[in-house]
Amino acid sequence: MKKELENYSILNKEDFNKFFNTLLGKYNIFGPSKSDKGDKLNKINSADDLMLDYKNFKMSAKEFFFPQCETLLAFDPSTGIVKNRSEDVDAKNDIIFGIRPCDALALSFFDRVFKDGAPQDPYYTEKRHRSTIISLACLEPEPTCFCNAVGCDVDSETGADIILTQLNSRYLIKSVTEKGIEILKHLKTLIPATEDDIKEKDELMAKAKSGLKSNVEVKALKKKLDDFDASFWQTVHQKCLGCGVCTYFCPTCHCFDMTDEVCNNTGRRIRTWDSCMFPLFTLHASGHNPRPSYKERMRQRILHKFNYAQENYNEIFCVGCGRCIINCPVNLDIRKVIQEILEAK
Amino acid sequence: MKNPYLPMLTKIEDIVIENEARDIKTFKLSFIKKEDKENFTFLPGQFAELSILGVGESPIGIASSPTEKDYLLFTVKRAGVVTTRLHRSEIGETIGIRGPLGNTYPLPDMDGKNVLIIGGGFAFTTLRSTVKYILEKKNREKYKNLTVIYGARTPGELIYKNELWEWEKLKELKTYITVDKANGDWQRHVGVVPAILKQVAPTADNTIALVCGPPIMIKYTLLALNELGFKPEQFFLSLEMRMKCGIGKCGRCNIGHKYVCKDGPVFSFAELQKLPPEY
Ligand SMILES: Cc1cc2nc3c(=O)[nH]c(=O)nc-3n(C[C@H](O)[C@H](O)[C@H](O)COP(=O)(O)OP(=O)(O)OC[C@H]3O[C@@H](n4cnc5c(N)ncnc54)[C@H](O)[C@@H]3O)c2cc1C
Ligand code: SF4
Ligand code: SF4
Ligand code: FES
Repeated sequence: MKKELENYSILNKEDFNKFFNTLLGKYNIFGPSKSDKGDKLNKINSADDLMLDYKNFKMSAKEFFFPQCETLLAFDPSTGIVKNRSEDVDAKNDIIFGIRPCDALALSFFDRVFKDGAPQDPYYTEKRHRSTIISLACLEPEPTCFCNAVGCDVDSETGADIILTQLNSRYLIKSVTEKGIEILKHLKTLIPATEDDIKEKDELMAKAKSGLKSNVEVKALKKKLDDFDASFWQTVHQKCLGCGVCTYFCPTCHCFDMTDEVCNNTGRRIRTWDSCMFPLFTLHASGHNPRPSYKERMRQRILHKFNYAQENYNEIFCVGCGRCIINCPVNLDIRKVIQEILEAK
Repeated sequence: MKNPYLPMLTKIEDIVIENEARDIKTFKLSFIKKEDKENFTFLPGQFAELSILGVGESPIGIASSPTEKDYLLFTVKRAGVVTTRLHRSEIGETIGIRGPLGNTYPLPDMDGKNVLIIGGGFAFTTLRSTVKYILEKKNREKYKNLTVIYGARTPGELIYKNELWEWEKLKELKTYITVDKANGDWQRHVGVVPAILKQVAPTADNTIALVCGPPIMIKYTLLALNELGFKPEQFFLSLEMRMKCGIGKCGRCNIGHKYVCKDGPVFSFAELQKLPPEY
């Protein structure tokens, strides 16, 4: 076999259910399901419930690894004795099946923050170690997608262990990591791929890419953003209501709050998603707030993604999924914000 | 895997009311488990998250020195929910603690140099830790002159008073205690910290200055240091931002691309000049 074909294999459509059910025997599988119309990552109990013609999840896949509300520890409020949160660990590991390449890339950013940056976050890392990511290349991007402008793409592999592409009558499967190779080993339904299969994939991907209409050019952005007091900050936030929806839907936003609650004589310390778009986010007990208005908060959101993440990780913490565009109640479009900043004198 | 979110449990051994307004208290804590005590190694400048289970956590600077082996000291001003509950605690109660967190004052870089400590109000906590640390016999010889300038609004608002009066008697350091407004039989300096700093006029030559205090004091102290010839690389500030995780994950405490909880809280003024003034 040719070297470049080594990591590819083919799954015929009629073998798909058999392939999927074999995996179901060994793993818990989460993916887009017909029962909720592919809105979010759901537990899949049979191949029939899998929905592979979905566009993208409404909620990003981050929820699975970083739940909106998660118990960090439990305690007895009267004795103060701390228990690690009790959780029944399933004997089966997880497969995350069919997330889009942008969500997979976003997970790799979460890895940088929670798994690779010391100290490790044990809750995230544990779930991450248990899971294998099988992503699904995009054939038909949505009008709000602009992944190609921010270093992601319809067939981006980063963050995935395996990437699957739907060819006309078959699936092309590529293992990207050792973990991916391990999972596909010994699966009898898989047959070697040929150069024609790769050619077909390349054509499909080229067609998909031509559907991405955004032409924002983020390379020049960093330098513009180094000017903290630039005048464009006076205007780009003006429509914003500060509702924080953009950050909740965003697959790369990882900010959280920690609070205690006591209920029926058991206490929990929980973490919940939080947002830099909220005024309380940075409010000191003294009343001082380093980011008192919408202007500073919008600036923080944009700078964290497009400037600070580059300083810290050499990455742009935006994968161009367009969720913030779709869900913003006042149609504040991050592509336009970027464009305005680029065009500002 | 060690869980950085799990607090270690300590017991309150003692509580000292530090000021006349009675809204600043020092808590003396000792670890309940021996292994926690052994694992908790820190240097001056670091902080910890104190927690009252069921109420929440607050980041508080460690006021004791690593040379005070059997306990930890935290000096807390009553501000909001957690600190108010902490103020109502009694001796014997359990307090959770996560840490040590953050970086330290640049102690290795201070080797062979003069050390100038400038503090204002109740923000003297980690500076007290530093003074205590340097005064320890085996550490003292590493550093040249040690100068402490510390002030508060009134004599009643000075914290660690007994200790300050002890320091004044020692020849290992020079102590200048000042108040904005004197009352009664006050015999020491009168005037704001930056003014006293200019009077004392310590040499900038081979000196590192550590500064901690309220924003207005910081502002004028920086100007004074500049006048005295200190370069931005020579003075260090300890910053405060609202915090939650304390370990660079929750995204709350950044100034530019730096997280105060992880990359700070101590920054040289030279470093700060490169960051946006958003604090
Ligand atoms: C590195 C560092 C060291 C500190 N050292 C001391 C000290 O030695 N003594 C002292 O009295 N105070 C110190 N503070 C300030 C202290 O943390 C706040 O006053 C305290 O968190 C207020 O909590 P609260 O629950 O009483 O107030 P609330 O307003 O009810 O706060 C709710 C939550 O917000 C967060 N928060 C609010 N204000 C602050 C703030 N200024 N800084 C950080 N988090 C905040 C905390 O997580 C707190 O639990 C320090 C802050 C930092 C960042
Ligand atoms: S979703 Fe829109 S209105 Fe809401 S905070 Fe984000 S940009 Fe502002
Ligand atoms: S900023 Fe918007 S487009 Fe970019 S990753 Fe977040 S939700 Fe998607
Ligand atoms: S307190 Fe969470 S990042 Fe600093």
